[in-house]
Amino acid sequence: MERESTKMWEMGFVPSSDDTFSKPAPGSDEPQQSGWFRRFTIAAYKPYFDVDTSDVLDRIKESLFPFRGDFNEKTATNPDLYGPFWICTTLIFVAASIGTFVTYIAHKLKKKEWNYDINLVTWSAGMFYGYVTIVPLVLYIILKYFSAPSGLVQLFCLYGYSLFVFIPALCLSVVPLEIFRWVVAGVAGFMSATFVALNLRAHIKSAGERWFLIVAGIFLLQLALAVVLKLYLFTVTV
Amino acid sequence: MSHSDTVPLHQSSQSDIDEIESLINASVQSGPTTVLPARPPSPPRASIPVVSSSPFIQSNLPPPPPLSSSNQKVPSVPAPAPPPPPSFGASGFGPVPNTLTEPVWDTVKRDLSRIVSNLKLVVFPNPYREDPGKALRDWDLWGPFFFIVFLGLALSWSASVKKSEVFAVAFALLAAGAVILTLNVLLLGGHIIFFQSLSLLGYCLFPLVVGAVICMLKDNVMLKVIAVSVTLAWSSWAAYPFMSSAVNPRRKALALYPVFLMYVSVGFLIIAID
Repeated sequence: MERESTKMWEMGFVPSSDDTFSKPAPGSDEPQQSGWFRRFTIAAYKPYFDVDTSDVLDRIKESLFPFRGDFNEKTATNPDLYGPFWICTTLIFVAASIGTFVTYIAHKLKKKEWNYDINLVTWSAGMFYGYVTIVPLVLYIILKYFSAPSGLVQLFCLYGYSLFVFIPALCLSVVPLEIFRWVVAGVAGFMSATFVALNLRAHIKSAGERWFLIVAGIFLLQLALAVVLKLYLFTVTV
Repeated sequence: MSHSDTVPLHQSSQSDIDEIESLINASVQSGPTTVLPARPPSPPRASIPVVSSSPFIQSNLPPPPPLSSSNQKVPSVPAPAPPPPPSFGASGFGPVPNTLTEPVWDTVKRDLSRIVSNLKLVVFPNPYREDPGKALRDWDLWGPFFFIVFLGLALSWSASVKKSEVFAVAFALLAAGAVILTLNVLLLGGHIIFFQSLSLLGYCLFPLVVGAVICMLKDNVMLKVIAVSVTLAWSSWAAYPFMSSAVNPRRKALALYPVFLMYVSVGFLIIAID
């Protein structure tokens, strides 16, 4: 009614032109939307980003000590997706830049022409994002089949943080000694694989007899990732 | 036109309502009738309010003839609606000309001047400026679009092989990066508005565009490294206040690190392309 609209106008209720994409404030009681489209709201994923800077730094430090095996318990209540996503992204950037730099130095040392290979970025993106997305998913399904269920987000969290150790390893691999690079790749791969394996072993030892196979499988898979990385990024054909 | 009001209306609102009704009646009768408001006329207004994102632009049209004069034709311009009462916020309706019929050059000039003013506010942050929130209110997406496309083009020109792939990767990286950075802040519980943040991140790209142009013109590696480092630091410094104020202080580093990462990767792309 025209009366009501003028009253609202007087009270200063104006659709602000800034309110283009307003999301509910955190902590506000939004009624739970039912159905499949809830997956596409930001609010559905906020609980997985509920970490502070100090939490993320602590978890990163934990991933550097693979023999403790208690990462899963510590993050059971609050698994986060911030760490995995940004560690992967950083890894892509570091891998692409170090790979580029290595080929650049190799070509310049032999006085050969060098061109930037943009495929490094796209391939390393595919490799890392693919690994951190698909392997935990498959593992989740396998674990469910063997009735030792683990939360999917926890697996993402575990795998994401396990890749952190590759960042310093890649930085160290700039040194042009072939044997040194293999050693660095081996150590990093071993640390990362042990981290994942021990944490999973603690979790699934209780259920099923096939746990050893599963644990050994993921250990080898992580090691294979390290080897593939080394071969793809640091094989320089001049 | 008197209303038997159960609730008394504001003085100016009542006169405004009366004006609208009288004008509607006048146009219905479709004849040159005199328009006599029942109450004393409100102060003369400039012209039609049109909602646009810059509500404070001066009108180009001549002021409408005073409404109280008799023997005047009803103006053929659509009836001016009442201005908002003084309690309105800054983004309310204001006296804005009809932007559909203005010359194209006026529109382009207005958008360009908005881009330039936003650029000055975002990239040259001045702690003593009078209105720190102005860049946030007047956000637009033209500026970021031009900068991203131009940066992609500059990189593509500099590349000697695979030019179109370079452009595609640069464009995708920047566009997706801006969206992801905004989502990151929202997920961490920060308070920003999606398109404002896209706009700001796009404007903060301007120093890197300058760096890319420098690298395109001169091919010396040392010069490239220096130019890119300086412009990278400038971009990060420009983006810092907006991002850090949007989140909880305990999570500031979590919100700022991805911004830094994106600018460093773009800077690296600029150096590496030769």
